Amino acid sequence: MKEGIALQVKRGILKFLASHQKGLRVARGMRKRLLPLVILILVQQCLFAQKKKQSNDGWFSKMDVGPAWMNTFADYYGNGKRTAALKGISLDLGEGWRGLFDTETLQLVRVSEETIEWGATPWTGAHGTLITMGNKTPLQITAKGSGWADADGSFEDKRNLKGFGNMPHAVYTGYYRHGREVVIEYTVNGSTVLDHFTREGAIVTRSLKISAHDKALTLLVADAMGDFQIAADGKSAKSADGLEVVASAGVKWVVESANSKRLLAQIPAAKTEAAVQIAFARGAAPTLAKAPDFKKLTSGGPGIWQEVITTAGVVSDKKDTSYVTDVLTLPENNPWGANLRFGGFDFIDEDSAALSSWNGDVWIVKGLKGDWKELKWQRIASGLFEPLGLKVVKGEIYVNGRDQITKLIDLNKDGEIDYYKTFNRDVYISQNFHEFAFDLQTDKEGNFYFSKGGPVRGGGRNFEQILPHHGIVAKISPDGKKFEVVATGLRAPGGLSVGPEGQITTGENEGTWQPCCKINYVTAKKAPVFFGTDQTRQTLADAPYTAPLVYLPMDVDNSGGSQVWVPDFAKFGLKTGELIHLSYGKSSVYRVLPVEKDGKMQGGVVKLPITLQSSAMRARFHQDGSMYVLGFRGWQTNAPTNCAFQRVRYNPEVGINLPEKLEYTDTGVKIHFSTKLDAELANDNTSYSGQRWDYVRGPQYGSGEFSVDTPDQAALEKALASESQKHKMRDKITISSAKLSADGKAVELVIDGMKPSMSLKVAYDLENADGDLMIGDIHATVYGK
Amino acid sequence: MRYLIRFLAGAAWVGLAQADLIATFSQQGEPTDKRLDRIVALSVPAGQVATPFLKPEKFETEWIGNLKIEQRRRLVFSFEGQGAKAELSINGEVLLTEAGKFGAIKSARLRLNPGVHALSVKYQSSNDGAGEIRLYWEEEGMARQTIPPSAYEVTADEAATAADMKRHGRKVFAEQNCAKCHAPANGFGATPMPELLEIAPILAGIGDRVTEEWLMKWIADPKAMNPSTKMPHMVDPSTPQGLQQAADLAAYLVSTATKKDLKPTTPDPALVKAGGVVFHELGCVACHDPAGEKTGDDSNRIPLNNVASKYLPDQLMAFLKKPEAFHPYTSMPNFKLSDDEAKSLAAFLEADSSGKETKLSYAFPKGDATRGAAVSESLQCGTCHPGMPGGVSKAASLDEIFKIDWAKKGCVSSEKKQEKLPKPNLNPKQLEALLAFSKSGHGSLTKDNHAEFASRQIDVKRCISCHALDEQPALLSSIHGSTAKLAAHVKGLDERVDQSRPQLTYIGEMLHTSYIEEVLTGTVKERARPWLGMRMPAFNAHAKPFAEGLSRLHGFSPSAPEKMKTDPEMVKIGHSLIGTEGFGCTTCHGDGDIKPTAAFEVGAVNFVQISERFREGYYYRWMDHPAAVMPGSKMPRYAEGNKSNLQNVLEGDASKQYEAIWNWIQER
Repeated sequence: MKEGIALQVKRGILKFLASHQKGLRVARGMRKRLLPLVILILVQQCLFAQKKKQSNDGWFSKMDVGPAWMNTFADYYGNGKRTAALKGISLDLGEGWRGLFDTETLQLVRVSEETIEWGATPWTGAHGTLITMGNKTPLQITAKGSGWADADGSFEDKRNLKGFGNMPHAVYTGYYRHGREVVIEYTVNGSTVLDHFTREGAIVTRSLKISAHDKALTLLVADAMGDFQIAADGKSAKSADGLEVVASAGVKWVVESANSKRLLAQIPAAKTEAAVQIAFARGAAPTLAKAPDFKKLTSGGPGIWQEVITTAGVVSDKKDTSYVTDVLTLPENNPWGANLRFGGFDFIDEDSAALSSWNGDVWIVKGLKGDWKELKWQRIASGLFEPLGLKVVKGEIYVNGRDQITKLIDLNKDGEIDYYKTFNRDVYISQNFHEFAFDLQTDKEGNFYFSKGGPVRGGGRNFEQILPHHGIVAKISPDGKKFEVVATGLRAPGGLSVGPEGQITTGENEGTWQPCCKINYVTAKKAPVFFGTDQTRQTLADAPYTAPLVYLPMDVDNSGGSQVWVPDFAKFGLKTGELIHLSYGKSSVYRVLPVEKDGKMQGGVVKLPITLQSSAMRARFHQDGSMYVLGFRGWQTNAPTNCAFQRVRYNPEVGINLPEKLEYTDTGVKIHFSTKLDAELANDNTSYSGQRWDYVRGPQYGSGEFSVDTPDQAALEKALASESQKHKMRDKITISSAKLSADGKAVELVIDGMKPSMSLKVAYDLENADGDLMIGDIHATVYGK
Repeated sequence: MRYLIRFLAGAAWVGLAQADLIATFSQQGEPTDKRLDRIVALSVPAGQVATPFLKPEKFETEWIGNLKIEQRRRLVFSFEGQGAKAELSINGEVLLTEAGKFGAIKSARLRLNPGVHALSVKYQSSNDGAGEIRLYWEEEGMARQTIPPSAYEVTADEAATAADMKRHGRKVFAEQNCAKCHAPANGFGATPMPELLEIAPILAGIGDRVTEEWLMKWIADPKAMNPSTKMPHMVDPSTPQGLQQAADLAAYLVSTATKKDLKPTTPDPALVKAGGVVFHELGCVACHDPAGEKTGDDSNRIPLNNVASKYLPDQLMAFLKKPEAFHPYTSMPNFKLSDDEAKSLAAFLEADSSGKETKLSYAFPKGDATRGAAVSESLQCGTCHPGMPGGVSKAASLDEIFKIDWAKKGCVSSEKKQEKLPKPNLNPKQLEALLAFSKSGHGSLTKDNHAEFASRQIDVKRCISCHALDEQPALLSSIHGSTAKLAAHVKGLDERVDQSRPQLTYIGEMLHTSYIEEVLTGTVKERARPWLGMRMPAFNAHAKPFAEGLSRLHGFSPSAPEKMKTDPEMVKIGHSLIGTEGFGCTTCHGDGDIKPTAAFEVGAVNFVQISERFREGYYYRWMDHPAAVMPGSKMPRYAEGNKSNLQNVLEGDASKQYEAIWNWIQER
């Protein structure tokens, strides 16, 4: 805080100096006297800055986040810090002034000249520190609660979950952008409200346009630190601590009877559209700004990022690998300082794709069809709330942020978004840093799906307050009206997929109640299901644990991404309908080898020989048959770069010599390869080796590895009471015989004492019929044959 | 390190032991000694011995054992070090021969199928008796690195088992202070076995530290008070004379007390509770049985039930703050406890043991200090405890005792009751080992080998109570939960990241000798792992030779960080590699005052601490595959083999990229 004060003092002095620079000689003398003070402050500030280098002086303070910035914000209120808005929009009112609007309570939280105290994982990397509006004496501020009275005239929080979610009587529907001006749109008691802010010097005017309403509406204006007095003429009101407000004709000021520091504005019933203005100022009488032209402001306006950035893609000339990775060079050096860690994408058409970044942008890249010498990038949207999922449906872009799914609409067709329309915002969120909203996919009926993390504590263990949508897979109807929970019990499901038959899969990470990473799988029919984390069980109180398709040890996956199903137009060396799993942590792509038993899915994974320049978060197949893979680095991964968007092409000249099908037999496993094997090695049991082990699913973080053959009861019990990751007791399995099939492409392995195990690793060291080495392993889960 | 573990466990010898490797040492063509080794490694300076049973001259060593291969591998082997010759054979075929300075050549690639493969390494030292060798392997997907102990296995043959036993007997002989009474006529020379120089606790002023009653009981029956004590039975408490001697000695010891009639105080319950948390957090249970509890394992943990009855007021706190004050060679380390910690821990230990002291059935007579001084003179207490009467031994000399059969005569003989002699407190295994050693002569006591010394110190200092070694998990990992209830009221303790201590498997090749010594002496400036609730205490005694021995145990000469001549271009590349443009190391690793940008659980080791700690070779091993070095490590692997994930820097050559980072680290 000292730093904040220092900054303010410095600003004050510099302003003073600036205003006195011209003319006055006295001022020069003062400059001389003040100079040592300025130097002292600057030195002090440097010292502070050094210490807090990570928190307030990074790239994030230089990024232009656009005119409207959605996030969870904290601020100072009364004597302390508070979570000011869970789903907030911070409006840029110029020259450091910002207005903070809460889109859940529909209240103007505060308007002020701000010093931003940085925090939040995508910005500073901090776990648990919120971005804070730092001015402790803002122009205007309100206490947490509804911004509008309901039909009964009550401001009471009547939400199902007090403090969280949408108000029953007032719902946010989106915002319009016109140049750098913003109009917030919502409904109150059935009427549509457009809400707009302008600033002239230190006077801020709030302009509202309200559709016809048969009853008067009451708006929360401010909670001051002193009592409000209404002027005798009823036109203005002033608080003892100096906030003065004036309104357009017809507005009636009301000082709340039980709280004389709270000022309300009553807007009379109107049979037609009503225009209302309120101006705020301190130390001077406020005057209303010119009434805005709402029609113009909501019809699309001039773009603000018209510069298209051209980059040259890097197309690989490799000929000797099974897969080739081409990299679409990102427009990292853009004029807006935008940090481009893209976490969601989809193709708009064959030549273009839209990508959403962790810091809130959406960009379009064009030129995919060509030679990639000139890829054209354009920033089309900004200020979204950590959007880690993007889906294009019928040419329209839907982006999944933590606060809502937003439909991006370009009203004037200038390429930039000017209407950020709410598609669905039923999701409950808290201020926790870890409850990411991952991915966005659709099924063939057009329903949308995304997965949501649990509110993990800063240290990674256990959880903070659990809300109804923590650790779930959400399903939203094609019209955006219905929000359903189709899976619960998740912790950190980094991505998901929806299969051709509506199957849902998700990744998952090691943590509380999650012994390791895994691939969850459920058919549409069986949903909703519980995937294991007890704290995020939600409404499925009695549902049994749905075990995953496969448990993945840490060296295979330590942080899961999305899955993707191979479409019929893919040219990828895999068959239509196959499932691919992405590992964010290992920057790897796995082929899933499912083994179905009585409708229950089990199986294994084998790594595809793909080298990525990023983590593997999202993937989609392009019409040309290649797979595009996207990933950034925001938490732990072995990704070699911060972010990369890449095209992975299959090279049929080299092909892949990999297992393509896995079967469990009474006595072992049968592995089918895509190529004929060298018979001598294939029939030699020393060409194979393996291990099996179990995990303990329990309240501890992660799990050790436990013997299946000689269960250690004491260790298993202890693993429930304390962390067991150091317990590594894999059973070595004996492969007593190996037999090559008649077609020369499958081997049947006899494993001594074949039995179910949460993990079965089978390694092979073979050659194909051409003498090419084939070394690899399958990691599988066996529930039964 | 199977043999050490076996020692610690105190199990009796049954059959032939499983070990990693058998090393046979020869001089002038004659097999002279055998030893069970963990790895193919040695480092012996000229003029010193490869084992204490050898002469400080030219020697030859052959390691034999099996290489365990889990799945088919295609391996290339190489040596490092120097000597007259080194030769590697696998399954009887000579694969690699090198002479002079090793490391210039590598073996041909060898395909090994799953199973065990007979390995032999024959090594000849330089003519001056200096020797250094390490054995490396590599394959596609695995950078060159020393072969870890887990890759070897061997069943010790009879000769190796006997040599192992003899070696253990030598250790017992030294640690039981046998040579204090049975002193050599002409001393142990310039390079004695270091433990021979140790002294028993200094008893000056003990009357101001402990109670007379405890002293009496301790002298009368030390084994009853602490089953693994090295204090021998000096009096026979089954006789009135013995009890009188104990009482007189105790009276003598307290006769110089300056504070009289100190009244025990009742500890403040809040302090006791706080002390319980310290007891748990520091992992005291790794070496101690809490008062009144015996957890039933055989790790010889020291019981704490006599603490309350032993210490005079405030003396326990003083002891905890500086355990080595009156016992420079104590195994109890110095935790650098704060006053608050020491005070609360003492309160806890006293409260916890109050009323639980060992009850002896003897009725002690009143002691007499004057008589006590005479008893000390006659029992020669002063030979072990400096300053006590009886400092000149009247016992048979070292030369004499090595001429007799210890099974039949002397302190450890079981033939007949040796009433006048001290009865050492030995378990059957120690006794057997001691007898084996007695047949080897005492020549080995005048010399020592640093690596062997380090192996013994790992045992004596109970390192593996807290640290994992090879495939042996730390004892504490399995028993720490038994004291969790003491800290159950402290919020958040169970939500911390993994609290296990670093493993010791690679310690000698990992850390600079100078840094190990700093760790042992507790002089490290910044903790490398500040996230651990536990902390490494100082083990000051023998810190320097112990540190050197750990390096030599891994085949390395002692080392200290040196200013490396860095390549500015590589430094620049390294800098970009650690940042967001590269591997993003700065996400988890701080760099001096700059904090990690987004460490999830805790920050990893700070960059500025790396060059003072790491040997360069280990750095590459670590970078190549962290989880292979330390299972469960959160450090990502950025390359498979030498193919880096990052393809556009230094041609995607992982080792060059790591070299660039190493260059940058040197500039921190």
